[in-house]
Amino acid sequence: MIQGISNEAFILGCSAIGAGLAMIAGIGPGIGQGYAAGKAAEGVGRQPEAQGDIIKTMILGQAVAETTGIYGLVIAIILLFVRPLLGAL
Amino acid sequence: MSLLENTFKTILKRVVIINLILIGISFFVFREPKQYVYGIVFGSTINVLNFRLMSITLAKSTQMNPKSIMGYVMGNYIIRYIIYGVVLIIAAKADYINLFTTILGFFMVKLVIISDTFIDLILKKK
Repeated sequence: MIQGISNEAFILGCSAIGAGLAMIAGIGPGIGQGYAAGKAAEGVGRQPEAQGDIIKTMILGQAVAETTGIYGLVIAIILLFVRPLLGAL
Repeated sequence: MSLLENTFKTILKRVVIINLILIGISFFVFREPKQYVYGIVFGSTINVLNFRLMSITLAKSTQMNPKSIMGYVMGNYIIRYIIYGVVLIIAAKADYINLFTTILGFFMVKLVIISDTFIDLILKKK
């Protein structure tokens, strides 16, 4: 069935599938950030005097957590636009 | 100085210092460093702006009703993710911006935060 497909087309198709799979990594940090923000809001409600410390610590933690989503996005963009696997032909 | 004392200004200052060091190195390493310099500046500027956007969002979210926080934070995260995606596509398509230095610029804030933690640990041990 795949006899009529050229090597380039096959690699590009597989790269597109890989890019789609890599984008799944973007979902995790979103859920994590929402969950952490909810817990921080609970913490502020319980201890309003520690609000500044809670927010700053949360922001630093979430800035680092967000990077995992960017990793997936970077892989997807490289697979789609730089097409490194075509060089293996 | 710990990052928690004055978060945004400290991070901005350190990102600028690291950028200047990397730009200086790229002038020595590459024959035509223009595209690499543009990439670093473009990537790190977007990263710092997105970090600012995130801090505003999260500071606001702690004042909200706990039920609506999840949707608000996730919506803002998706907006930031789209901004990152657009910037990466521009860097991949445009010849005058290097994609890989743009990606390096995207991890500047993370680099500053993690290195600060390590420096604090080392200084406390001494």
